[in-house]
Amino acid sequence: MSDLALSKACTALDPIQHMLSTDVGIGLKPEHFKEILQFLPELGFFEIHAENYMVDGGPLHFYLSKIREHYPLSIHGVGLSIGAQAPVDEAHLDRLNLLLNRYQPELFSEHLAWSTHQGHYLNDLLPVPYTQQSLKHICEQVDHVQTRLGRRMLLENPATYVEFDNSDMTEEVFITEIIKTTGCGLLIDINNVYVSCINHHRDPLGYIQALPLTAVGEIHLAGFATDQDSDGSPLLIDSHDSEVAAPVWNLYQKALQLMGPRPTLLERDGNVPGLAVLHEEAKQAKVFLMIQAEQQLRSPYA
Amino acid sequence: MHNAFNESLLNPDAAIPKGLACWNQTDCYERFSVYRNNVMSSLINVLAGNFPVIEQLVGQRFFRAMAKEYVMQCPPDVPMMVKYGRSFAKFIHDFPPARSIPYLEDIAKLEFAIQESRHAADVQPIQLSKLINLIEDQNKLNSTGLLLAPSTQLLNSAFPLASIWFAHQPQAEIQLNTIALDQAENVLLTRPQLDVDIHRIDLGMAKFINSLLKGLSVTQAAELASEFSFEPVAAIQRLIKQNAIVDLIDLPFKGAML
Repeated sequence: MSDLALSKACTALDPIQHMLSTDVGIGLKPEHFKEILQFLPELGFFEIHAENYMVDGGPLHFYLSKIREHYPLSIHGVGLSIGAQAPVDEAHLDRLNLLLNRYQPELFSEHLAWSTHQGHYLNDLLPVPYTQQSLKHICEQVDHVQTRLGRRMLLENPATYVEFDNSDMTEEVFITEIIKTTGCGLLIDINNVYVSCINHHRDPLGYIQALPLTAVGEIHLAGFATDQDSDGSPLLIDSHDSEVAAPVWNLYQKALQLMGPRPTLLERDGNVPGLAVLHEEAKQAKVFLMIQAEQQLRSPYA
Repeated sequence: MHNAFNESLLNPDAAIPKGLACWNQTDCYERFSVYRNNVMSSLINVLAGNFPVIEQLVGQRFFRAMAKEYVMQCPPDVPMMVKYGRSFAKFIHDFPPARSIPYLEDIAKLEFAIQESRHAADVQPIQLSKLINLIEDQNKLNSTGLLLAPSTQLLNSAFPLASIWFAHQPQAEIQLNTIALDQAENVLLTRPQLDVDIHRIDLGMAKFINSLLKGLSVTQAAELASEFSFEPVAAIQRLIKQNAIVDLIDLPFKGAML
């Protein structure tokens, strides 16, 4: 079956409008704007960090608007701080609403993390203790965000380096409860799964199997850096500055077998290479998605 | 938990928060340090991205040490990183190790202004017919101001601000050591299309634009500028070329009073 025919066949199965479950996207970087518009590379979508485009005008909006004419878009927030002590910042929600209304992205996602505290923005995705109390608070925040924005959001699993003494449930249970309570979707970051599971000595595949995979609306893939903790045990860092590592590709394929193809994004935020290099990495993900899509068509009840 | 995290993240000498856990029962120090490093290095990188000429002027090591102090004292207050560093110039002014480069503060102001100009709201330039009608009507000139594009910024410096900035651009045509550092410069930023243009302007033009930005009428602005050598028609033409005039502002009362 040709790629196109297969893609078309998958559309019917896919609840996401204008985006196919076999689409692969890359993060949109200003240094690639002109090249993208000149060559219109065969990519399924682009993803932006919402906060980078929260400006009034100028070249960022000019190029994003042009690129939006040709590609589906995913807007990925990094600053909503759903896991903060305080409720989410209404001014930030307003900015987000403006951006979503302007660009009408196919996907919108945010993180299970916090990044603001008492008026400070810390520019990192900080961990949340998994307690009944934090669960209730975060569900209220997700509910509020979805109501205010009038759309379903996808929540991304975090990469973490520490855990908390007072956590009384696993991350998988915590995420599952949020999805059950709020109806939000899941953005499963396979690199984060791998990084966190190595850091906390758990089984990455078992982690994935414990999640409600029918809620997955998008997959993230990225590279990590390797360090050690005080004891010499491996400490992986979600660095987004290198290619996807072999064990993460491996886990991605296993995850696809469990949940079927899902729109997949290659994230690269540091040491950003040329567009061609990112496109090659995207093609690798596309191969795995198409293999999975074909298997599903052959045995739809498998 | 959030308080303890916040304090330890922004203070490298503080103890790590209590209540952290990890599978191998280690002290969690290295693990928590990942967050500390992420916060500090990512914010220093943001400042290096927003103030590239400052980094070139002081060198990477000095820049990172200075930026670290700034991050600890003034962490961002919004999650939009293009807006981080509004108070960096003031911080530099008050930072004793930076005093050996007296123009550093002004360069920081210029770099932040360039950033603001680049991301300012898009506006349509004024229709030329509107301006022509205005210029032909002396009475109206007296009671009309000009609304300038939000990307318009004016900086006055006792130093050759723009020249120093130009000398630090790729393929710069001027070298820092050929610039007379006691030359004051007035700098105008405009954004005719997508890119910010940086103009060195004379005192008359600076006075004229400053007066327009304050909301004075074209006549008043030109009168104030005429203290220096000034040609109003050429000045307006220059602003038109830069797509910097957006609209006319009616100032009937202000004009009549003065």
